[in-house]
Amino acid sequence: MRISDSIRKCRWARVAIGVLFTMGGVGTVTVPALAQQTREEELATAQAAKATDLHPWVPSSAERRIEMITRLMVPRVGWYPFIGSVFPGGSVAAGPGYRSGFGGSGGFDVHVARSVKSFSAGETLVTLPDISSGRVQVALLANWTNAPRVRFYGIGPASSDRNETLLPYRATTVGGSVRVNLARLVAVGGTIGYLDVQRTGPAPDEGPAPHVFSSSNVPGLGATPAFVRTHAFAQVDSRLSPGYATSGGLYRIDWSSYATSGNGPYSFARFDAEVVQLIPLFRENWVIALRALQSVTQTSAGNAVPYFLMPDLGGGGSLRGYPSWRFRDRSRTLFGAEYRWMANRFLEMALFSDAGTVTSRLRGIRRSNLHTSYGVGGRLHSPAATMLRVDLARTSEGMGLVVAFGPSF
Amino acid sequence: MKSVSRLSTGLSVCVAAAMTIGVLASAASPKFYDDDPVAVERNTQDASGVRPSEIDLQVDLAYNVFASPGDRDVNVRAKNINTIDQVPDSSWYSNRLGHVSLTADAVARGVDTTDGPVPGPWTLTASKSDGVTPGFTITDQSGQRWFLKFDPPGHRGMATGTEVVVTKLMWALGYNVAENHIAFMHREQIVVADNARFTPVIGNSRRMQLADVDALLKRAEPEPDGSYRVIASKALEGMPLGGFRFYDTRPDDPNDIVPHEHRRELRGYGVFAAWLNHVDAKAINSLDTLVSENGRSVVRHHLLDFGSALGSGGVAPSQYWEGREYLIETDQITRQILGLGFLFPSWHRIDFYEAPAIGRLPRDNTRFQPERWKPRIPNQAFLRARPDDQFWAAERLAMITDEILRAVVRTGRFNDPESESFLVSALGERRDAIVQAYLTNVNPVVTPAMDDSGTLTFHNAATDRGVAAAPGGYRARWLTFDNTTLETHLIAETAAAVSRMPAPAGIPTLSRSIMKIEVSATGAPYPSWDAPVDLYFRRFDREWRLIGLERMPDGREIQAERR
Repeated sequence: MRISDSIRKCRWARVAIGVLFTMGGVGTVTVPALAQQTREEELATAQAAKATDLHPWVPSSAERRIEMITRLMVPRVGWYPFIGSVFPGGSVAAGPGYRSGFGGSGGFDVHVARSVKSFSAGETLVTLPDISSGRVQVALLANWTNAPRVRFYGIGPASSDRNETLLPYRATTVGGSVRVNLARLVAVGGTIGYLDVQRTGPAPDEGPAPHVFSSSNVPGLGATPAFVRTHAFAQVDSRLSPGYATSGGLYRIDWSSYATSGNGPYSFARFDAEVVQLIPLFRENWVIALRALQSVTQTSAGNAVPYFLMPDLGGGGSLRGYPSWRFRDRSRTLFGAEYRWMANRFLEMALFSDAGTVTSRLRGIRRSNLHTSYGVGGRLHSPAATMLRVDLARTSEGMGLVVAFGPSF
Repeated sequence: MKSVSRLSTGLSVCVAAAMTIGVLASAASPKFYDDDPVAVERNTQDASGVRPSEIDLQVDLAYNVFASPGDRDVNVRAKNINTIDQVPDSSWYSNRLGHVSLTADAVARGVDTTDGPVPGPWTLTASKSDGVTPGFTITDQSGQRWFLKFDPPGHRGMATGTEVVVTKLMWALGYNVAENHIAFMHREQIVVADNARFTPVIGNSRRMQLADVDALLKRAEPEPDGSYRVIASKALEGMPLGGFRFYDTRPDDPNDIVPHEHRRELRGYGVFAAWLNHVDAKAINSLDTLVSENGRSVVRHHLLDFGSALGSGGVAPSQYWEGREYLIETDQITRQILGLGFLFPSWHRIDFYEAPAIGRLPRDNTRFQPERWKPRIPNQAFLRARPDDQFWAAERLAMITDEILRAVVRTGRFNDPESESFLVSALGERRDAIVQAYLTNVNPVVTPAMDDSGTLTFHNAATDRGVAAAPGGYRARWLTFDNTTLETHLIAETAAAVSRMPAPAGIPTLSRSIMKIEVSATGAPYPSWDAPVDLYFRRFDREWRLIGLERMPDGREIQAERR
């Protein structure tokens, strides 16, 4: 870079030269006759020249773009772009959201979104201000979901992907939840709510459902029951954050009761138990992550678990590589293992393998029933949250790509 | 990014153009003025029009990582130095070590003018609700405003003690810093001001309540007596204007005419940051204030927030990788992805000293390699530091004695004698490693003088300090120098085994004559010593006075200087 070029690009440097030449009483470069007799005068002249062209900092276009992106990513009060999932299998959804706070630690969040597969949802979450200095947290939720084409393959571990059909699901949920932090790592809580299922399969023109599936072999197919849902949980969570951690463990049990309000024989209870253990090695350069998950359901005589509320496997959170809802039945068993390694403070890589199955009875689990998948993934994360997870997995039915906005487990 | 680099390059070199206008205009401009070397870089313009401007953390991070702003030329001689290669006093920097008598006690006292917040009711006017540890702004009974920060739970003394120790050392090294004290806050002495506002992480700003204070204090660990140990940082004089970037100039400050990446004290700051493992040396940890000076408003530039230094990471012990990698390094990411986690970075092999009171630092610092040290975010001034800038910093660092270190570390009140002893030892070892690396990396001729007869004497900073063997000898080229045409004329070449050389016959005797002497080492343990230091002496009546010293004139290749 020649000095003459730089002066051409800089207004106040040009002004400085003008001042100098003027003070010398000449106007050409070849006859400088500078006025300064001292170094201090020279500095003062340059400062005086700059004083003629002052302005605030002007961010470059790159800085403005970075600022815009970070504003979108950092949670703020007011309008924000919601990007995420509205229902398993719906792919990425986006829409407008609005957040606000009240009463100190209380919050209000509402968003509507539509996915690339035309799944849509609207949700309102009200988090009440902390009670007892944050020991007790209460939230109210209202959600409406419309998933017009949810994959369905049948019931049981041997369901065939050749029978894939697409069934609609539309439901409204309202309810409230409470969480009590008994100790630093220990929490219990529960939910009570109302689930109104407004539409389920079949979709006559989508796949072989009318020929293969019927309400006689698929409980709840075409039914629109409403439930009072009661749920309780207890957990010990020693991870730094559920959104991202490299050490610690989660030990959790959930119990749920779905009671129909006289519009169908679909009352049942569900029990879930999950164990996650993260084992850091070599200064967290490696993390061995292990997970076991068991879900069972129970019905009283004359009742059945509707297909859309059965424990399931497949999708980004379980048995990766298989599509969402690939396997459904009254029980499920899932094991997951990951070898994670740090590529950067914000990027974690993983080799993983999942194995799981669904059965009608807990005792029906056989090693021969297990479906497996394995693959590789990368996760962009902050110290406490996973912002983007991309997993590529191979299964007996082919390759599957998972794009998610949370941890695998 | 093209526009980015154009902007930054243009901005940075245009200042260079303004500063070197004399050279541009004609060789008739003198190289030396009568007042050279200047000891003070004065602010001659009123800066009352400067307005506060905040730097966004994320933008600053991403911009420095991906855009590399500032002058693209990394081999540019510092532009705010005087003609004898020194940094004049300015609103950025004050020469303290070596210029004023600084005893260990004086350094331990540092910039302090008070004993900290006056005990009694503290009126809370603002709080910091984000982050891991809380922060408060209070006004004490004297009306003085203070910013309070806490140690992370489980690490009593780590962040607060580190902040105090590093502040005092940075003050001694010449920088403008805030007055920091360790203090103890009792919940009972907090009074929430009527106009105090509180902004939750998600939520709107509202009037602050004592319950908010209690909620924030849950993130801090109380002392056995129920009080909370805090770092109390005295509000700086003047109107806060936001931080300064480590590249380009502040466009609304008329006195800020040297691109920050070309300021030697900011380049040298990288050496001191390496010494102190101050990995958080970024723009938002600086602050400009508008102050009144000689009846004129000027901008004063400060360095702040040293909580992520030494073994402290601020909210946790320093991470293993800190000081050795940037937050984001694309080549490192690629290596790690492809290596499936089996290509362990070098920091995996380092044995660390770990203690709750001071955090985590390498146990052995005798083999510290300052040239490999990195802050979390690339710093454009650090990246443009040349061997002559590092030499300047190392000379200052060499003046920090073990006695000073002991006195300053004591002020951290870590309450862990073994860890305090380790810190003193670690800082001493890191200092020695820096001095060893940077005093030898360029020709170390210092304190040159010519007596009446023209005999030249000088010192060798590296050998005097004991970090290098003496060279076999020295060679000098004696030239006359025309201050108007900049032409030189060789008089003679001489050589000597020691750092004393009689003048050859024929040196000028007229008053105001200028001699240029190029001094290099022969048979030196470092090839970089072969490159000469250019010395300029002007004749005054019966004495020769040093008016110029160029250790690495512009245009000399950096590679030639490196070991």
